[in-house]
Amino acid sequence: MRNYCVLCQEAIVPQLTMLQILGISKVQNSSMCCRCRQEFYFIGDKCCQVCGKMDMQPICSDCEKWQQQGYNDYKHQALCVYNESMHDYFKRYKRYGDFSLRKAFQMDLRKMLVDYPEPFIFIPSSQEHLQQRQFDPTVGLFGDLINLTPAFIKMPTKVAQAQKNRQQRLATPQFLQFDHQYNALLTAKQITIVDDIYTTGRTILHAYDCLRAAGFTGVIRSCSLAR
Amino acid sequence: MQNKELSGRLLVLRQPLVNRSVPALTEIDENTLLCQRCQMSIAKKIYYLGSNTFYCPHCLFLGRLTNKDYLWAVPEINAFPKQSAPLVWQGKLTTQQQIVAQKLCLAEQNNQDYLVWAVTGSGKTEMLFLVLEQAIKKQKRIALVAPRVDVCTELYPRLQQAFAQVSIQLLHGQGAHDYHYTQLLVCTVHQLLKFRQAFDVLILDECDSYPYANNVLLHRAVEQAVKSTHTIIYLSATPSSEYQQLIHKNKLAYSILNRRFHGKDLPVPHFYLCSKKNKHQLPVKLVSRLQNLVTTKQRFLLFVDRILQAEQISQFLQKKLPQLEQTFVHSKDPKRQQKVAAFRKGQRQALVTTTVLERGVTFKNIDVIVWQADSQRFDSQSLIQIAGRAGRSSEFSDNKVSFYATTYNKAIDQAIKTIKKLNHA
Repeated sequence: MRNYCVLCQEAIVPQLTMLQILGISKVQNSSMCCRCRQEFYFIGDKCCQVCGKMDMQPICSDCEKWQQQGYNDYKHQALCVYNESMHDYFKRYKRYGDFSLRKAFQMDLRKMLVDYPEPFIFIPSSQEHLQQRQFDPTVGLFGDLINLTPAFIKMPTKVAQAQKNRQQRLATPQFLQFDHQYNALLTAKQITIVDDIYTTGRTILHAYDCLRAAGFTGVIRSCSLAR
Repeated sequence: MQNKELSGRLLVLRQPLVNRSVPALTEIDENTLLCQRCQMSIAKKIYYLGSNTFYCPHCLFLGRLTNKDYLWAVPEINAFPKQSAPLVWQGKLTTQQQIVAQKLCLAEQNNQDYLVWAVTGSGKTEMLFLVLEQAIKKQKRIALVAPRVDVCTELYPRLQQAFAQVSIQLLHGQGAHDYHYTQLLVCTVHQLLKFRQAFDVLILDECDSYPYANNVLLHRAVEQAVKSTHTIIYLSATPSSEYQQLIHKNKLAYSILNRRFHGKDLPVPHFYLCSKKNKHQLPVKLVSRLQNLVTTKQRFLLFVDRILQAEQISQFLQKKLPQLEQTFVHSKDPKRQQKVAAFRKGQRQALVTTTVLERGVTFKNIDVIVWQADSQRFDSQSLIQIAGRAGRSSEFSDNKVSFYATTYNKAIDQAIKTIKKLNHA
């Protein structure tokens, strides 16, 4: 069967290496064609050691500020840079509501998540958005790959995080609540928080506060598709 | 009496309206649905939201349609005032333009489709004025559509001036426009999906260009937006084989206009062969040519094949020729409209651009240079269009067009030969 790129609908012609042709290493079925893939910038090692921001070594100015506020034991990893193409992608996925686009990065996200143990908790979208879209974008991206626990409850906010500027984002008060029916999770050694986009770190660190307030003492890590 | 504001529109409803609405997505077979807005088929296996909720991925940009929605095509009532002399344009047509304009009027009278094959800069818009006037007098509703926003924004003010008393509006996806009911509508082809059987006359400019060419969705959009008796006028400088075949089978009447309105020849491109160089740098030949242009203060457009290239070459020129005032434009550039408008007003000496400016835009006294003319992104049609940016006004009809490339290919050859042929026809 032929695979088609979920972004541009062109047929995907896999570029095989010698080892794959000989059947020694496995062929991975990508959901994106090479041309679309090139539009995205995958974050390598040259990034902020804390939040994964590109070209900021060893630590970016955002994280420095967070560390001054006492957040010094969290670590975030993002797959791609939030560039023009990523903006377009999220526009199509979240704003237009094209649920099929969740598959675009699945192969890469799966690779990234191999290093993280369960449990995974996701940042939920607001009721209003959920009703409008009829799907949760974060669950769409990660739900097929890992077991997600809906342990955070999002309290209603007036303005969506995406519609604020940087200052407003940073000033957003806590809007997450830990759902105590999942108290069993708090005995884990490590909890991984997943979200779609990391911009200022505000949301993820609210989640961090939430877990600490609920009494979690283990390691907290977080992952997102874009940074 | 129905509200005229909604006349001709295709409305999306969350609840059905008895005897008027149809379900937005209808079943073709157990695995496939058909979108009633864009007439494209939808694989249920891929495009679902939850159990039993499916959506159309093809016309998402107009708002997502699911199988829970309904559509209502509001009948067009043509509620326009009677006008005796709507055209206030004072200009005069050349004899050749006059002939075509009369043929168009005849086509409108007989509700036939028509193709105008007119070289770049031949004054296509002016040729439409007569047929538009005739249709306006008959209280017909008219859409002028083009595949690209740039062409629409260029067309709109000219029509607004020529038909000052007629209601007109511009509609495209890149700005917030409040829709209101007008007799003339200038819009992108995509916007036509919001209309159903609304237009008596539809003029499709640049009918061979991206994204309309080979796009099933947009072809359907045009078919559905016109009434069952209608006139579609296709305009093109480089008709694709799709139209040439129709002409061949005598299914489409057409006229050729091979002279520019000023009667001078089209500038013939010169080809310069360059040696292979570092990707991000320009060959010496081209740089010295640019230096020359800087000293003579000749303004120019430099076409490159990709968005990234446009930015990189602009940066490179900034370093290499700092005295040259230039910037880049491409389809994803948020400041594109401003940059183009500023350039038209005479700001900056040069623009580094992708094919986004290949057609539909007019600048006065511009030289045209194409770097990597052998790129796959430039086919012969787009090269002809690009060459057509030069020499558009009669005082500066001898602007230079130059193709720089490392190989000479079929597209370049065809483009140059076609231009020569049109000049001698």
